[in-house]
Amino acid sequence: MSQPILTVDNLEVAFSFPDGEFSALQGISFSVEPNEVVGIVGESGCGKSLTSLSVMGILPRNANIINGEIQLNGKDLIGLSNKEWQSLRGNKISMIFQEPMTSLNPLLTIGKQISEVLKKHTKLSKEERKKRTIEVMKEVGLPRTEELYASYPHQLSGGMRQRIVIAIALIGEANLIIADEPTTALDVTIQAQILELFREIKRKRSTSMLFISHDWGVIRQICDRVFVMYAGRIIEQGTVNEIVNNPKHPYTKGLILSIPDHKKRGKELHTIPGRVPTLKERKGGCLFVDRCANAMKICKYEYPKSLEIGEQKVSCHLYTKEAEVI
Amino acid sequence: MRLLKRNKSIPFNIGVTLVVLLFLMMACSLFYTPYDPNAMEPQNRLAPPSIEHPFGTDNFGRDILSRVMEGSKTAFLIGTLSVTIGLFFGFLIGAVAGYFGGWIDEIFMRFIDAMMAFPGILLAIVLVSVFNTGMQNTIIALGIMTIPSFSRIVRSGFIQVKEFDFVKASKAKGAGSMRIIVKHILPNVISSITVAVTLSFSGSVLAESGLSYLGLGVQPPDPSWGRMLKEAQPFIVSSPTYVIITGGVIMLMVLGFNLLSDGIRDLRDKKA
Amino acid sequence: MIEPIIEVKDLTKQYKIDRKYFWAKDTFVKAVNNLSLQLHSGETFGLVGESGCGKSTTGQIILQLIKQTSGKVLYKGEDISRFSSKRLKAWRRKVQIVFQDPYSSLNPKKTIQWTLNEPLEIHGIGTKESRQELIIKTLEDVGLDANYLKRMPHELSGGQRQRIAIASAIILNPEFIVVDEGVSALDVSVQAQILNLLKNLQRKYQLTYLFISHDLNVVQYFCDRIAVMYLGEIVEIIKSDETSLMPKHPYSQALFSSIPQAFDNGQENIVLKGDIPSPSDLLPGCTFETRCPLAMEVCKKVKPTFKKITENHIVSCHLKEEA
Repeated sequence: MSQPILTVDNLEVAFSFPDGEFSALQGISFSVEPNEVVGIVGESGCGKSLTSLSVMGILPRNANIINGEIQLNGKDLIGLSNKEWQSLRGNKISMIFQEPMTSLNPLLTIGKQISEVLKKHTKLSKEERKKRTIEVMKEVGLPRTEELYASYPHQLSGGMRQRIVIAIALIGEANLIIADEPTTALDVTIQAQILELFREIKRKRSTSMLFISHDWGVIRQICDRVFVMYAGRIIEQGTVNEIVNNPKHPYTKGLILSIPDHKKRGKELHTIPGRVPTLKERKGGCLFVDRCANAMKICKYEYPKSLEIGEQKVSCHLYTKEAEVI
Repeated sequence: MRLLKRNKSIPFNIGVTLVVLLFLMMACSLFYTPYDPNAMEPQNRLAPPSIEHPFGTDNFGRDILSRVMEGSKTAFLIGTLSVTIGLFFGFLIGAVAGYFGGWIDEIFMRFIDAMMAFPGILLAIVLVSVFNTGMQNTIIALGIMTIPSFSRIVRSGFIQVKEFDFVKASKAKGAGSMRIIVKHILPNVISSITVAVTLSFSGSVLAESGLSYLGLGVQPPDPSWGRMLKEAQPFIVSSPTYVIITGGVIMLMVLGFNLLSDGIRDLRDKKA
Repeated sequence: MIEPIIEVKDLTKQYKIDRKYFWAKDTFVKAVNNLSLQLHSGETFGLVGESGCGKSTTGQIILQLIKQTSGKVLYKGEDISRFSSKRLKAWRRKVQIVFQDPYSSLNPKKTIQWTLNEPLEIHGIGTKESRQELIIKTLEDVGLDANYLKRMPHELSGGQRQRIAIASAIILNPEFIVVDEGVSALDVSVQAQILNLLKNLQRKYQLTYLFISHDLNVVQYFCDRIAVMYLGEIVEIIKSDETSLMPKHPYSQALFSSIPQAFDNGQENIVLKGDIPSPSDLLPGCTFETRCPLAMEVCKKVKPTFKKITENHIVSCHLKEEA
């Protein structure tokens, strides 16, 4: 049996403010299997980035993990010392951020920034490091690698910078790469190039990936499985095709219906009334209840358990009975 | 007051306390000083602190507390007026240069660059020695000294806010330059101007002390902390209280305003 | 034929680039190059392209927020650069703009009441009471109510701010609105609300939109005609049909095929090679030549001209000239 690369079990993260503690993530459980790309999709403020920061161990100062487990290759991550974290990051687990300009140091050459990971985690000589760096730069599709090795980030275009960031994530041969909206800041034609690169990486390397995006189109191109987050909880998960073509949770349904495309021309777009409750407004019960067209009495006071319907999992009272029958 | 309540940082509160205390001392000196600050008691020269003279007396037997109080008037007057002058011209230059840009900006800023090529205090010394010493000229010289920093701060604020969408949107609604400057840009740069004002105030007080120390600033009989410091210098060993007290008051004033400006800046950054 | 409400003729905007050396010659970069288009009353005209293609500059020149280097903008046949300043101010009532970022499009120091009152004050419309009435009616038009009047922008969500920005644009009862990436910064569900709102307002007040966006899904859904821009030039203007779009220009084809689709539609991606070149080092020929998969010898030397494909479809490409 193959062991999952990453398992997150019942994770709860809370922000502490002067007026108390407020839970921002609750009951987050999922796993990433070897050679699998798992997507997290949701709107801003749903906790998708916070989830990835928890896994990287770089939560903001006023956020704390107050419950749950995170395991990487069966090894517990919660409570690691700074030193232990440092030996993991870049080596076993690496991250790609949204903004390629700010995630590179403007004062260091491209070559230095990519090979830094090797310097930290391996005993390779300087020449070997450079050789390896150039190989990875070629792998991510950068042209004129020798020349680029000695150049600075500001000399490159946005697409090239993002390739550099990806090269940095790849060079340590991490078991898990977390990509947080890696194509959002890019133009469509450049985004298409980077997505193509991700697919190639997936084919050639056996890296697992946690891919965060708000864009269903991007998710569908890359991910095997996806989970949908709403107000700090996972409300639905399954394979991408199942969820896109047959969403179960009313929120997922609404979200997918509200994507505009030319087939919906002339028709009113579907909208979800209201807005996401803020941290301080979140109480017991289903957090979507005030915006849900199918809300029932029970939704107000009891949070729905995660139910398995086929290969999909959904947290919604609408399916409670159905699930029991099955 | 709202500012006070919201700002919990200790340094800021120390700053406010110092400034308020010094201000009260100045206000008090308008009506009352323990002794006539210029009355000499030759038999009681360089007396150490006592009940009659809490800060002691100077080399002419004058009461130091009364002289410090009297000097605070000069400090506040010079600080306020020179900052006002600097702010007025600095704002005008900075606003016009920042808002209109182009060659106007180019000309104004080269002019400011030229001013900045001289160290501020040197410029003030030159001005005072050319136009003669005295309170009025000191104020003017110190005012001119602060123009460059104000105009640069105002200019960069204007350039930054001018590019915001709400300014463009207002322009698209037909708003004229005056309206955009007063209603849209000004409220959004006022906090950085406030920081600059408090900082310049302490700078001016310090510069005045410096000028007066050199004998170029306020002339007798107008009292001045800087000149007191100069007068105290020969007695630094025999009668250290004189130096410590005058130097200490200058330091507290500068410290108070600096902490105040730091606090205001923190508050602004926090809000942004 | 009906006169277009806005007509742009041979519009060019060039910027001076900072000289590398003091003695170097001035060099210019063309953000918008010889651009012409016509907007008809009541239509939604989409302007799409990647960052730096000049689409926002075009929108701002039409509203005279930026001055063009050459070319004309006509409002109902009249050259607006000939307007007196008084006429220009009156004209500004008829044309408005909504910006992308709901966090910078409202003055953070002013209440909603103030923001909505400002345009009325500028143009001296109505009495205090009638203004208040109009403000509340406009707030209701955008799906908000009088409770928002006393609030400050930072107390509102992104969607609500965008509604206020729209309210302040429609309060003067304009005919034409430039929506500059007006929904790009919003989440999908909020974006859908704002798009519906814009559509409803268009119907209610017979508005004409120039809809500038890089989000092609939104543009295909929302716009009647779409102009594709590349490096300051329009390469194709196409009618957005109920059936799928059939772009003819190789760049438009790549652009539209690059949109990641949530639903499988069996379309194949055309992945372009290379980056968008800097507009400062352009060759005399077709701007797209460096990345075009179908580039020919002639594309390097000669700039293509517009060819009519159908009544509502023009394209500027040498391939179409041969065919």
